[in-house]
Amino acid sequence: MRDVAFGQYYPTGSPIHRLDPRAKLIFSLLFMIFIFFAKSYTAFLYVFIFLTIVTVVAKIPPKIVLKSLKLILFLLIFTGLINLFLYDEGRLLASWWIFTITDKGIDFTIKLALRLALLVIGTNMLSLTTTPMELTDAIESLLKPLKYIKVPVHDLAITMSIALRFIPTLMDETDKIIAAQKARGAAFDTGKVHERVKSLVPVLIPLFVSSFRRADELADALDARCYNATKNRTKMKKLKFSYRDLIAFLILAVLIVLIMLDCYLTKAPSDSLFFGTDYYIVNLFKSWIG
Amino acid sequence: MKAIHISGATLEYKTQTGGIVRALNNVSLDVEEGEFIALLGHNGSGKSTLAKILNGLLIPRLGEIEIFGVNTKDISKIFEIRSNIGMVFQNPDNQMIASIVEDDIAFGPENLGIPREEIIKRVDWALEKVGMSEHRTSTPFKMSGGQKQRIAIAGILAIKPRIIVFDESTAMLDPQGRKEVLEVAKQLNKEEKITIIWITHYMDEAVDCDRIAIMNDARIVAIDTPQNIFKRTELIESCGLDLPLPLSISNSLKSQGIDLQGEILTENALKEEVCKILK
Amino acid sequence: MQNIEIKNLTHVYSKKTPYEKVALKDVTLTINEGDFLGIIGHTGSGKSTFIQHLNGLIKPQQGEVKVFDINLTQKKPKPDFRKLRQEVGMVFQYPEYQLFADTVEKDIAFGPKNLKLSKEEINTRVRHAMQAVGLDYDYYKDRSPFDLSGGQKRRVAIAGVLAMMPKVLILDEPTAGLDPIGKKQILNLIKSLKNTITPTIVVISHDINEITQYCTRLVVFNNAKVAFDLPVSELFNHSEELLAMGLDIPLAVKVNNHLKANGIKLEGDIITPQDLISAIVKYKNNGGKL
Repeated sequence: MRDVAFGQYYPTGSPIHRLDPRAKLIFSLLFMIFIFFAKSYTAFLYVFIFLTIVTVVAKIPPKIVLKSLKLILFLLIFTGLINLFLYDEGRLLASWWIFTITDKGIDFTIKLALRLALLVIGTNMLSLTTTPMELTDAIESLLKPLKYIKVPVHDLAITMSIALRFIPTLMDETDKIIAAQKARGAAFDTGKVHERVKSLVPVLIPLFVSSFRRADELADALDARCYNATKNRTKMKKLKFSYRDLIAFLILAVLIVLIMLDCYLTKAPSDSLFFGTDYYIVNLFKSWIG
Repeated sequence: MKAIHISGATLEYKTQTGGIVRALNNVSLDVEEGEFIALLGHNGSGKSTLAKILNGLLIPRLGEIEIFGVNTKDISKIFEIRSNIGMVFQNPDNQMIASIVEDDIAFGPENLGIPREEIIKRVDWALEKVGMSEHRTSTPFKMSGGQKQRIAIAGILAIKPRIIVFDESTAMLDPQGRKEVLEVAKQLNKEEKITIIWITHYMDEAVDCDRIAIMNDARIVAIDTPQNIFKRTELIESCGLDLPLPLSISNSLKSQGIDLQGEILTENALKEEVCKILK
Repeated sequence: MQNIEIKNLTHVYSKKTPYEKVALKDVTLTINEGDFLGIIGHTGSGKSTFIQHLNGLIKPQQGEVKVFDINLTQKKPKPDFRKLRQEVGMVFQYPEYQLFADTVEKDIAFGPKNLKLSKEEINTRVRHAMQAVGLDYDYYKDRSPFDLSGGQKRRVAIAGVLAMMPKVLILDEPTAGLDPIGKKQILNLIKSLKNTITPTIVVISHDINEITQYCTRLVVFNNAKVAFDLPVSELFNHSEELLAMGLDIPLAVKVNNHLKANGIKLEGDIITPQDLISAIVKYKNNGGKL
């Protein structure tokens, strides 16, 4: 069985894998925000080139990268069709009952699909190059200021770490119990709905029993290892920004500037996704660069 | 000062059906620093309860326990006790908290607020002691039971305890894993002078320790050197335990008139004695 | 008669990912009626993957698996898994972790119920199975399996498999984690099952001194392959190779090898402690002459 604690992590040891996870988390957020400012096909091309560079540097096979699109394929097609038929501005190309197809509608649909696809591929890069453990550390570190308003950031981080640590163990255990009950003739994939639900009982009960037993033992082990001995807990691993993160940020900044310039040069289109707030930011940007 | 001093420890459990089971019945035991003591007994004889009263996971109803002179009833000193006495449990999967080896080992010292540089030194040292240095950044999930258990030991070592209790730490391992873990324990005892309490029901693991204590029905029924303990065949069998295989073979040979010398506890002793007598 | 026939079986976990692992490589093996087969090999050598093929818990990727007249490799019509699991009983490691019902009787009845047998038949089978594992029906039937001792729980779990009345019984590490009393009881149970309930038994064990007490044929797995498949009396002629694989050999064999090296030749096959003891006594009584 695969180790799900690694999520989609695809280990290649590339420079992107070695970026500070906090940096990667922030970059991903920036990417998510600014991709909504990509309005023209030129801007999409910039994003595409950027993602191609990231994929090549991260040494991740394109096949794996595209795999993430499979999951949202249905969403892409569904929203695509709705937009295609219900968008009624622009030159009418065809119409039937309440459905219309316009030139702007086609344009809008293609852009929306592109934006969604690039967004998913981009954010997926984070989970392909960062382990959940690193992400936990990053979140803990970024949330540190919350300590001062009495949020138990550290306990939350440990809980998260333990949860990640036990997911593969419990998955393994579930597999074993299912196998054991199957060997006793249990069928999980046939029968009516209520029969199938009922058939889960012989799996869930042993799973609960064993989880409680594990939790008990784990509690003893935590105590034996001096958990809660002091409030001034230290941490072995210190996240450190390095020159690598700076270079990565500069590359991302180039993309952002290109997108914003393109956005500025393209005449304000009518497909605002943020109810006008994006225009506010664009105008702000315009006023900056005079 | 004794490493461990237990006098008159008595403790009961309530069962789910409301009955009361005595887990420890007036147990007394003294352990010197640097000793390697094996604690033997069948399941339910009270071994694990005895382990848990040592670091204050359980407090007995009657009796006193002192670890290097500190009483476990003194709540304010509980972490002093726990940093002096480490504990390795049975299931290696249930005592690891992090998904990366070095993070897991650092957990103990982090809890104690040890400075960062010192933690790194301790992790290095602990990994080296258990022979797992090259696995520092791996995940324990795919490792063998023996390797996982060695990482658990490293996690305890990083606290720098003077005593380590192994509570049936080999029960779930294959022969290879058992050997690895026992070797590590012996080495720590020899090189680092760490006092070891080795709880098991594998008799062959106990043959070359300093003293053996046998538990039965919530009591310690015998405590002596291996040579002397294994002379008491009837006692061992009445406590639901086995003789080490070499010993039971040599006893059987003796009873059939083969004149072997001494108590033969190990494979090598058996080989040599049999060879001698047949030549 | 051949019960189970495996030809050129190969199995790879997580195919085409960085986590790919070959668990079985070109394994060919026949299990005959009446076999008392032991499987040894260290953790990860492929033995667990192998036995899970025998009752269809893992689908063959490559190669052939035939159990009685059920061909597991065929696609259409689908192999009859219910019948298969009735013919081949599987007792997993720590089988007590699969217990789930509130009474011993209900738990043991789970298998026969899945086979859709009549109430009377189920009851007869539960009684039989409990008798076979040495648990008194009237005393234990209404007790909760969770209140029993470790050894008793394990016997309940084994009874749950026996109630399927399999022709082949497979046990994976049946004595793991038990104390000496529990071990002895399970060993005696397995020996008695062979003579009374199931004609063919396959046992996986790490304890070479234990498995040689009852098995007549041993299969050694090493690096996903079958390294040896020999009668017990012949296997330990390959002591050197076994030790090189990191496997243990019985104490009696070790002593005998030592004696041989010192020019003392005992008579007969020496595998178990009993063999060794009687051979030494015989040798001594004959004054060193054969």
